Amino acid sequence: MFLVDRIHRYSFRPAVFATAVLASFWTACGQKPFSPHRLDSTGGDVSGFLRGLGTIARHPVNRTRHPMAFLAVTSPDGIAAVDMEAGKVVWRQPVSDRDSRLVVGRRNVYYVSKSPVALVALDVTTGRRRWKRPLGVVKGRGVYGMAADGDRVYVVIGQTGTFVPGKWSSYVEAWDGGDGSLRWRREAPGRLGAPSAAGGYVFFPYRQQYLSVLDAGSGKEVLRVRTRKEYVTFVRVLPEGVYFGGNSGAFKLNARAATGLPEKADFLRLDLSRAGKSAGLLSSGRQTGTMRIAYYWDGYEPVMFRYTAYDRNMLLWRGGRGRSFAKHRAVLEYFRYFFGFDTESGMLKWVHIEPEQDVLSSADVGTALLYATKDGQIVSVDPETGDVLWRMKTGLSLVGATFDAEGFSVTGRRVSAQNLVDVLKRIVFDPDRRLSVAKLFALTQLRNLKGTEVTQILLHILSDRKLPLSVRLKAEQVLVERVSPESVPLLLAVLHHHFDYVTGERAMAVGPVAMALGKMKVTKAVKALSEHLTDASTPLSTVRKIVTAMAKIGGRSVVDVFRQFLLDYRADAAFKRSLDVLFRVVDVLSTQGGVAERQLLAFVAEDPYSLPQLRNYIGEKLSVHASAGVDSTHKRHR
Amino acid sequence: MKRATSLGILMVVVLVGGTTRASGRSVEALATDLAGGDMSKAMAAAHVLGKIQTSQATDVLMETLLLGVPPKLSVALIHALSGRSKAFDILVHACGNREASVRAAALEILGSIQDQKTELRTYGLAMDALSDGASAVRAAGARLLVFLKKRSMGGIRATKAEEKLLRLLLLRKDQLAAKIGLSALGGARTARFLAVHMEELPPRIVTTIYGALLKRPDFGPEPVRFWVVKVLSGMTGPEAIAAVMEYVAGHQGGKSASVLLARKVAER
Repeated sequence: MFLVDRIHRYSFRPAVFATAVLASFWTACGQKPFSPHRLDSTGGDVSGFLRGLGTIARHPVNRTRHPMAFLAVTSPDGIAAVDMEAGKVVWRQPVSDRDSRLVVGRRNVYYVSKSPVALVALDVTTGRRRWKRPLGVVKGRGVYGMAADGDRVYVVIGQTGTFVPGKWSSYVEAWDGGDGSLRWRREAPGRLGAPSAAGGYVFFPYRQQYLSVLDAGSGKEVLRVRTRKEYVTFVRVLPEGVYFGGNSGAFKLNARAATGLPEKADFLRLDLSRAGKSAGLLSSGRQTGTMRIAYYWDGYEPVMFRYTAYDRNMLLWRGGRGRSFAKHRAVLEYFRYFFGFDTESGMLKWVHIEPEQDVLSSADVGTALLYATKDGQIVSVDPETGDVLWRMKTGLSLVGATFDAEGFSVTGRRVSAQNLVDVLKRIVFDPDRRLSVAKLFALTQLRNLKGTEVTQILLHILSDRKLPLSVRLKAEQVLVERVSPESVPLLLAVLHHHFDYVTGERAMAVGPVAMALGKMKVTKAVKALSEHLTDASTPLSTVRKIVTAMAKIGGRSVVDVFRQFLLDYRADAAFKRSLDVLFRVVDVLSTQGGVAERQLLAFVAEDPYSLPQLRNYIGEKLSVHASAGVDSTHKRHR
Repeated sequence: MKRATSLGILMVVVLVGGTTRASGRSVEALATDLAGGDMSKAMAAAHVLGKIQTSQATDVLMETLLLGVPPKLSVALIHALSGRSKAFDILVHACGNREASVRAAALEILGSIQDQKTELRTYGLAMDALSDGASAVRAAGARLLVFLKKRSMGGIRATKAEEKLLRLLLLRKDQLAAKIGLSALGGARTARFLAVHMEELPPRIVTTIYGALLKRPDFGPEPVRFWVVKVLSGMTGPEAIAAVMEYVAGHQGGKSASVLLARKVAER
């Protein structure tokens, strides 16, 4: 209408018209939030915004200022509030229609109900329902997330189902916490993720590559930061700063973040590869067989707006200076386990196991880690040491919890964290079969620890046939990769065991022990290894490892054993599928042996009983040696 | 088991002179057949060489075995070395071969070597074989043990340790080796063991061993025989009845309590 009026009012002049159209367009775009044409904010814009944002308080947001846990309970369904400072349940309300996480504001605790989809506010001090407002969510749309700041609550609603670029729309609504009135609503073309709110602003992950910030009062967009390599799936507002990012890590919002590049910005990432090869068991995505490193809930997944199993595998972290995590620590929660890392070295510092029940929800409140268990326990853990600081039993059966306890520091009877080796051992032997990835991870962490105690644990694992094969294989790998000279007597002692049908005794972990000894080139091991090599009960897979180990150790005694071994089995069809074993023996004889060994090889190469592939292999070997003037004319005297 | 045989020494074994013949062929010709790579010819040659009891034939067999041949031919060579004490070391070496048939054959042929100097070692190998992973090898070990005991000691019973080992085999579900050993060497302790573990063991193996024990004149004393007959009389199945009948048949004029009881059971 605006343009039409102008056209009618003035005589038509193309240049003036074009200028007017462009000017109007830019003006309109500049005012409209989530416009696809909005320019990215510069470093200066970001700095200016942060000056206006001010300080985020380091205390709980609820008006009592007490550290509280709001619990979604079951049997019967309801919501309860726990004052953690007082150590008691302050209220409990029956609620049967809750269909989301609980979100805490100054005066209210909010949740989204199902059938009809509505926003519900409960009084934070009494649990009494203050109001309920339908959200008007039609079929094909869903609630992506919600955030509260002061007396306002912001709800993001968007399309659900398969994402179709260009045909996707979302919107955010701002509701007044006092009277439950709708203050404003802003449409967003494209995907708008779960929000975060503080200091009079609302922060959104937008279109997977932007952090968008709206002024909470006016609903105008005040900042738009674009990332160039990383997805933006979450945003967290913490007292130490605003963080946004995706599966790979989190940008700290500052002038450098405007570059959008992790290498140029203050980008936080947990990198365990510095401490060894354990990183393969961790993934930033949803790969199977790995422990996920989730820096926060994915704001584009409506399912994560509920309490789900995603909450049981989260990285608990706080921001520090620059690119660092606070106090160089981050804690990976995995069902009942908490792994505390030094983020600078990538080393595991401590592990805490919740002994009985799964952990449902957890949070790092700066001064402590807090978590709630299925059986209603609320526990505080020292993030530096893994010591249990405080534990409270509510007696409630939980499905999830939301903590509003920034700076919580109540301590009870401190329970020191267990010795790292012991606790890793407990994880490996935990009968809970769901947690096999954690078992593998615990094993890889054992590799970095010194001492015979670790070797004993690894040998114990290798001999325990009740443990999953994957765990035993990983233990084998760790035993071989660990170089532990102090464990040599222990490893040699293991080789004393041989198979005995009558007593049921089994040769224990001979293959991995052989490999470990071979890696350390323990010459003392040759005799014991030879005994296993020539033991008929040794499986071919173990024979392969013994041969490999002995080849690494080398020496005259090894050559002598290998000579006889080659003669014994050069014609045995059982080795047709394990020819590499014989090939390796040949390699050792040709490289470490003398004239007699080369004569032996020549004989094996020519004798018709030798396996054909072996004959060919030796033939090639000898032709190489022949060029060096080696006489290979030895023949059987007949 | 040590395989002390030196390849170096045997490599220089030269088949000197000698044209000892068997089946019309010389040892040299048979040696050529053995080395030729044709399995059927080699097997036949091994068989013929086994009949030629000369040092030259023994050397050919030993050298071929030592230099390594397919397991099937190894077994034929081992059988051909029967009774040759010179081959003791190489047979001991063969007892450690990965192929169970080679090990079993070596144990069997070791029993054919009568040499006081090596008998103790053979006995050790027989006992070791009872712990082998392969049933055939354990059975061969049990046979060798029985054979050695009977040959050198006139068929006396097993020692406490031997009997215990054989009984353990039975509990480990190896019926063949245990049956062979316990039937031939078991005593009162075995009889009691079978009674105690009757619930865990197949009735057929119990009756078979009890029947074999009753057949042996050295098994006893009489109260134990009586008790075994009594146990058998309480058992069902044709093997139990057959064992009692055989006992009666073997003691036609017997007046002992066990025979009288067996007769009564048989009549019933």
